[in-house]
Amino acid sequence: MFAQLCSFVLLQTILPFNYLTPQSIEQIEIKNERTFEGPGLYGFINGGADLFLEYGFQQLLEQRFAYQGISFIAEYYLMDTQEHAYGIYSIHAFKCLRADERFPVECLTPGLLQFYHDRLYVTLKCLDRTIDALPYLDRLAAEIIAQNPYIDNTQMAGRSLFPASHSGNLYYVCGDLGLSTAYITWAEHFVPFQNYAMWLWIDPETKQPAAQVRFASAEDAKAFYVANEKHFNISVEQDTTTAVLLPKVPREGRAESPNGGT
Amino acid sequence: MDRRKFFRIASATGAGLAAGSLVGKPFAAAMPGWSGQQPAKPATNIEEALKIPRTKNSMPGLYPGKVVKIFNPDSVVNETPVESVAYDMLAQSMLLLTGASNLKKAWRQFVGPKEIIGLKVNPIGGTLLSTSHAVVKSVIKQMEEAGIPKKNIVIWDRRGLQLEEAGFNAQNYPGIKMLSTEYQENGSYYGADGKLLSEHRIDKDWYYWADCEQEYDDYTLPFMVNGGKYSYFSKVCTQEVDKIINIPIMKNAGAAVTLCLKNLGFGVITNTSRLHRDLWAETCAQVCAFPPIRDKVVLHIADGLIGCYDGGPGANPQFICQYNTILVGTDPVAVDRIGHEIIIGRRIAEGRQQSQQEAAPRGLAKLQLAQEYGLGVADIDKIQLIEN
Repeated sequence: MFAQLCSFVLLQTILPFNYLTPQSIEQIEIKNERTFEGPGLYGFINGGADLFLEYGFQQLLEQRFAYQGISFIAEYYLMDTQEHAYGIYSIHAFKCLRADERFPVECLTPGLLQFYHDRLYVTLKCLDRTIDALPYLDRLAAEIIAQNPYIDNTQMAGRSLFPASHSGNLYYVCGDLGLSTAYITWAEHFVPFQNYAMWLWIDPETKQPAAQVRFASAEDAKAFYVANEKHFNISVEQDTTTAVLLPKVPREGRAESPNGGT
Repeated sequence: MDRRKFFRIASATGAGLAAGSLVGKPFAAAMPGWSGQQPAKPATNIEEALKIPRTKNSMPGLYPGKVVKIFNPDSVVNETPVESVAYDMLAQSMLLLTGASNLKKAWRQFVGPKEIIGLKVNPIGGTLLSTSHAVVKSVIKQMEEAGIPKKNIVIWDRRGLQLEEAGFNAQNYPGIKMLSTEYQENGSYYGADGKLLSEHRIDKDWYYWADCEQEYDDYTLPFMVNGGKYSYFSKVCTQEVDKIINIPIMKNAGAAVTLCLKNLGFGVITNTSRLHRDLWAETCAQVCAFPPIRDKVVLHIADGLIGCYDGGPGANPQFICQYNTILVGTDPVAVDRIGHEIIIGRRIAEGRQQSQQEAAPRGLAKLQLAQEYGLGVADIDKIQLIEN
């Protein structure tokens, strides 16, 4: 009991967000908790850490627990900005059975509920894949969100350019690994560029991409234009660091499509 | 900027860029201040490894360029691999690979009763996405039937904690030794001598050097043996086993795959975090060119009963799928090349990418390198694929 209390106090001191505890939600029994910081994430997911580090990963709390007798794993990834938290969430949200309905930014797939909240990307996994885990996942997610007040620092303005329901279709990308995951068709075009920030929208009906890219400098924006004007329709904003991209439709056929074959 | 404006695409000529002044100049020269000055790849000690003479056991082993692919839709039931089906799939694979008249003769082409055999599994995906017990237990059973005593079989991977979490323990494998490079005893990573336990499991005579480095903090990574520019090989592979059977699980890493080469390249040495960003493909291929791996790994069994097509190498449930397949060969490059087709094919089917050709240079880089080092066949047209 004393050890548990010490562990609780230690975690609260280290982690700048609230998480599930027996005090916050009844019928939860914490089995194990681990934290990882910065490059220490390699100790948790080995090479998978690269992607999170590209997105400014700061801290992870992994909790293994039983809730109403069912085993779950919660992972709380604290990122350096809201954009990055949304970004790492966005490239993991795929083929959502439920998107942005119960919670503002969420993606439900079998046995897994993921959501973005402020600087957190949270995953809740049910380890028993034979039960309907949804009511439990919803209850746990609601508790986490309720405990962590959302602070809007306005850095998420880019997201408002797109339709309200976007999980699974709107990506925030800030580097090679993220773009390779979100839309690999474009990845090679961006290999030479660093420190860009891209809002990438894949239209759920047409599967057509569109993106707003903020390059690191005007020189980068120009370089991208020169190298890629034959591949994209490019519109550059007045500050010359921001470009809007659409793929060009091939002369003989249709535009690039994430689901199309070539 | 409102949404309407965002989607209004100006014509290229009216975009307000002074692109005309750039035409005809070399790309980089025309772009002072451009961020895309790519640094050269860090140097490594691969040339030292390539100078060491090969042996009769060196990769790609007895059957260069030959891969057996066995598919069975009944191999997974209720999301759990079925051991009896895995056994049959493996048996079929071994006979087709070797052409032997029975299983004992097939296995004895690779391992003998007096040798210590290490089974290099991949447990990093926990219970959801690790090398399946169905396949590993089938391997053990068939080796025992071929006369390899249980006491001569070792299951190993880099981290003891991950082995335990994935169920590779004495309870599930009675009589089989479990070994890892980074491990703890009695809740501590340090021994009575005050040294990190892992210090005793690394072989400083064998190392992969690369001109990039990283340091680790003891708080979050207490088991890391060393930082700096050296990655030491585990004694498990250099001293404690005579032969190695590589049993990876079919996973992706972006548009590449993590199969035979990756399971070895990043699984048998220390201090790998520094290698992911700039030397991922190189490490996968080059570490396998060092004799403790090149000359000891005699068989590769890629477990694709359950795998993933995205989110790898971590275990992301939404991307976990059933391939219901195992791939077997002595040529890790050829096995990886066939696995690449399967996994990328699934990515295409699921809408994660468009074609096999898309991003192929990136995805196939480590295979091309491994082929250059003489470890196997990357050219798919030169691979002999045998399917059921």
